[in-house]
Amino acid sequence: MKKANFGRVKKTTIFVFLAPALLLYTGFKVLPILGSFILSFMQWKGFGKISFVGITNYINMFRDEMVLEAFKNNLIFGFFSIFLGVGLGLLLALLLDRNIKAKNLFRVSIYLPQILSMVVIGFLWTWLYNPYFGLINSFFSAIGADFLIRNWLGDSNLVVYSISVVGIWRNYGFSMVVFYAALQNIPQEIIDSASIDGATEFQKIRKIILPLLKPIAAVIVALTLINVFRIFDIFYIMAGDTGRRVDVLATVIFKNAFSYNKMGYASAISVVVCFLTMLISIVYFKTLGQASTDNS
Amino acid sequence: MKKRKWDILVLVALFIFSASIAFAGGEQEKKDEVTTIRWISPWSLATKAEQFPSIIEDFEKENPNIKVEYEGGITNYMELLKADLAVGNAPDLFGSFHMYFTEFAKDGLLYDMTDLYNKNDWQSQFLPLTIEWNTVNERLYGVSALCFALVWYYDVNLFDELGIDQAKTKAELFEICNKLKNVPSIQTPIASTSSAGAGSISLLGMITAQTTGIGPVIQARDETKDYMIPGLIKAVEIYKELIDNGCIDPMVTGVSHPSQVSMFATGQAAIYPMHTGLFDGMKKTIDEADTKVKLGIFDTAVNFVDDPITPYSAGGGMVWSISKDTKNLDETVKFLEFFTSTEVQRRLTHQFVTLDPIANQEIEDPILKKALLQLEAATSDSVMFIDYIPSKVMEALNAGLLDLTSGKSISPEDIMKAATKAAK
Repeated sequence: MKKANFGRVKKTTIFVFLAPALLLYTGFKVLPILGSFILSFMQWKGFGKISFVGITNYINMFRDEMVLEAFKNNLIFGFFSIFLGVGLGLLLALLLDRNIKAKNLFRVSIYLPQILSMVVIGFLWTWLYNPYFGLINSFFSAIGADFLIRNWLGDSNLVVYSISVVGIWRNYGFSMVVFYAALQNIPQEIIDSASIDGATEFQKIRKIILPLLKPIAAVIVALTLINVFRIFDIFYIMAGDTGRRVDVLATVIFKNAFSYNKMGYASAISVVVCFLTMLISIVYFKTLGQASTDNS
Repeated sequence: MKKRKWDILVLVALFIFSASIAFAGGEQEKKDEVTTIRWISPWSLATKAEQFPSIIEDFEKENPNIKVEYEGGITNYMELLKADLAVGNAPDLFGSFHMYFTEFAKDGLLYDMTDLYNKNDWQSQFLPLTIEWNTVNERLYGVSALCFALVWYYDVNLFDELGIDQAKTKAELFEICNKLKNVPSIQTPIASTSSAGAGSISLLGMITAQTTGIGPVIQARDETKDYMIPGLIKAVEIYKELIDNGCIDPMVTGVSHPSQVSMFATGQAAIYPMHTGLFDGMKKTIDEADTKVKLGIFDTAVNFVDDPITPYSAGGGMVWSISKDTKNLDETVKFLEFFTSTEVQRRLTHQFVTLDPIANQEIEDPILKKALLQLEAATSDSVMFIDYIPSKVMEALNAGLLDLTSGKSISPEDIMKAATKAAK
């Protein structure tokens, strides 16, 4: 009897202590997501009457040039973030894993953009990209390379790439830090054995280090991909500030919800983006599990 | 023993809960003797709403059983207002920007003020432009909070130095721009094409007022969703002429709106077509930049066509409206009548270097005096084009104008086709 009572009291206590957090989580996460899902089947301006429209919003989304263009921009941004951002992070980690002077200073300065807010970064780079007095064009002009001067944020063919560069600059520090930490975990004996066997530096990197870094690289790529579909601030600030309409999915959702007064449609797009991100997260967690197994 | 402890805890919690309800109910009874009006706007007490507390104080002295609670400087103001309207918690009196004001009125969320206008003879108290500004489907739903004219800011000192007069026609403007291009410090004769359409659409609006007026635009917005309006296409053609004649430098498309103000303030641009709401900020920027730039505005509009529908473009600014569901209608109307009186409005005009919606304003600043003349000459067709088109259409138009300015191969018809597509 005492044992049964103790079990009931323990469960009650656990529930009582979890209840506030569960309530908050349900109220601020679960219910809004559910609400958004339900709203995706409605037509609503954010005020006034709501009407049920079935899957019309979803059908329209796949025909909407603005959405398709935004998705393309997300992919371009993702391509640069993964191949250049992660690749650069790896390269820097390999360089910093040597005995070089002021190694710590380099690591800190490379990581520094990570601690700045995206809003600050957006405004900072808008100034750097200014075609008249921005640092980039001014530098090209100063070294006599006028042919490199461009309208970085005003040329519709360039702007998404200009903003992608900012994304790389911001995030390569994170990749560098993670790869660097992973490099410290590679047993030195393996590298030494390879040296004794006559392997060149390039062969050591290609045949030993890179394969061992593969699981962690997969994790970084998955995380980067998740962030690629969440990206909003730098596009909103940098593209919005010069009036150039360059959108990513998050800005399309924002504009539809708050500028065009199409809350239902915005909810439908956000449901699809959420689904995409979930898929990537599943891959991420599977890869994380694999990485843990490989490491152990 | 443990069960008893839980029982006591539950009883104490219930007691505290009941007591708080009882006291809250007591307070509510006291409050009912005085009617409280809730008034909100994006203006903070540190800026445009600085005089509001003293105005409220004066009103409450005359009306001791009405209390006005003002809340301003709210972040994400329009989103919060929409949320309040959606859940039936609308404030009694609130400000909204014109494109939202129109939607709110069409959705039946605003109190019809037409009778109020007639009763108080507001038709003659306010500038004619603002009457159109606050009209939706031939009924009046708001009162303008302030007014602005679209003017041609220019650098008086540079013009004097070069011995050039203000432009009155398109041809004169091209001639002036040709001379300005040769000045080494000038990056672009006319600063335009900037953030979220503020610059390029404003300039386009100054042209469309002359080529088409607002009527066809309203019809396109509300009925046809077709922006292939001859007057609009003509306006974009004139915009293209400005670019082809070197009045607007292609690189200016990569410059943000604050940077364009800075370019004008530091003498890198000589002409800046923009609204008078920017006047105060522009003066401060020029003073801080400490350059040779002296701020002036053209005395008259630049005529782009021989027979303009109306020479000027202007707007009525933010709109004060009363919620349709207000439970304090009489009190809110009373306060609005007090607030919109000429005497109170003049207090606001003198505090800020800005233009007010009332007629017969007493403006001291010589530049704003000129702008006021233009505002008074504005007709109902002059209302600012940018505020009468949906956001998506504005973005499509702006993207087209940016492409045009940066030298892409795009025709005025293509731009209006894209705008029409965005409207559907």
